[in-house]
Amino acid sequence: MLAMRIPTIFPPMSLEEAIERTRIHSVAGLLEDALGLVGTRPFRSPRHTISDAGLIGGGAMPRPGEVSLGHNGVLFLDELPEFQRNVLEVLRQPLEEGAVTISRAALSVTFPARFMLAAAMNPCPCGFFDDSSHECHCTPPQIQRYVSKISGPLLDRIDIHIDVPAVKYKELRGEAATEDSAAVRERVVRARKRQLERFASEKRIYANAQMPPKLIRKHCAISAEGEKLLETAVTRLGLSARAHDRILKVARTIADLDSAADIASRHLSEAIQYRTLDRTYWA
Amino acid sequence: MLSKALSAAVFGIDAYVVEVEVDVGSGRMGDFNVVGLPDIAVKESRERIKSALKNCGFEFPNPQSVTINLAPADIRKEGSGFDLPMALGILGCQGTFFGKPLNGQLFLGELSLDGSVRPVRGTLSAALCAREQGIRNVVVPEANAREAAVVEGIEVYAIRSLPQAVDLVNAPESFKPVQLDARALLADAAQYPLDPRDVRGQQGAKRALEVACAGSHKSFS
Repeated sequence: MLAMRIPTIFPPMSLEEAIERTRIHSVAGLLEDALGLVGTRPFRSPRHTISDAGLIGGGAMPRPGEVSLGHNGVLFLDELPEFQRNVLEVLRQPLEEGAVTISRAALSVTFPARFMLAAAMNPCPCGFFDDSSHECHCTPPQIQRYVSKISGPLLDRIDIHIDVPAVKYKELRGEAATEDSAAVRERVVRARKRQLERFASEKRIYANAQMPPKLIRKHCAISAEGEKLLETAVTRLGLSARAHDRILKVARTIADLDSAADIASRHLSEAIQYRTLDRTYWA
Repeated sequence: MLSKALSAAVFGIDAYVVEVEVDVGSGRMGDFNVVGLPDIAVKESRERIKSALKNCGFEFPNPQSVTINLAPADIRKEGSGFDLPMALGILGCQGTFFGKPLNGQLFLGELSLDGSVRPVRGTLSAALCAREQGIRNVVVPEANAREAAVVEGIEVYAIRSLPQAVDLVNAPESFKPVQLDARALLADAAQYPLDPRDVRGQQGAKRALEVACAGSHKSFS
């Protein structure tokens, strides 16, 4: 439900991005006739029964797959552990390179595939692990089998993990005033602008998520207080070096959203809490 | 008699120009061959072309032979977009265009048995390719016209049927290119029917998605 709405808070597409998006969908034969140009970012949510060819593209004359159809938008994988493991592993190349290459005996085709991967899963097969109102009936081996379908390397490439508890009745019925997408999008656009200015002199780096270690050291300086916080988090939670880098990058983004020049400890602590999965299963 | 028309084929998401060469009367009587690594949809176009020509009141050059080459001949061609240039090439060989060359325009379109033109895939890529190659006029099925017209610097003509395409070649001055302001279109098209506001609660998740979008991070819930 919420994932479907991610494209609405993305920065608006440029004409080049829109043309690229329209092109891919036109080649795949998915364009609605009267439209001409598609101005909205794609949201693709393939079912868990999808094959690897369906995900990255394929065929004798290769056609774009879901990762390319989600180019400049969102690829949402619901119930992630239900996907076949080999299907998930083919995501690695597009996640790293923003493109996917399909090689056949006679030809080799490269499709663009720069997308935001969003995924959702239950904490265990029955879905009630860690739930205060229901008891979970899954055995530890069952849970282990369930979560082990997602490989460490894939999880390592995911920056932000969150727990989404069931919505309380009051919230469900209440008329709580929440922001609309335009307000959020404005903040996002401002944060992106700061990043573009920061990386103006760097080649092929446009967003915090793309920072290599050298730039992390340069742009993610933290205060002594923050240093202590991070040290506690990494040692107590047993976080990996990759997770450490990701925390810094995400903290940088949170500071950007706040229009702050330096990363304060509140930015850092928010970033640390986005590593819930490292803590629950893989620590 | 030889006639040439231009078309385009898609490779990946890029397109390249395909020259459709039609020769009537050089082989065995009654033959209709398509060469240049066509796939099944391209081979089947022979049947569509024969019927479309007949049903539009044009003549198929029976009992002479027809040979069609899709150049460059070493890349596999797929799809039904060559129907229109092939049919026009055959008509060109029979003098329908009074000797006018066909290679000033790029043609795309699938033919229906009654001669109407159906939409094809990858029109936008083909239009971009035409601009790169300096081909000014692009003739596409009406349903794909807006998509192609997004490309600036070329003239896009929308056609509905094979006879209309013949008229376009013979009397281009009576047709108007499709006009489109891509930037205005983009502003109109960038509207989403959904809003995160409609989802109750889940403030934590919403905040996380905001962070993810702002820094181009990947999220997981």
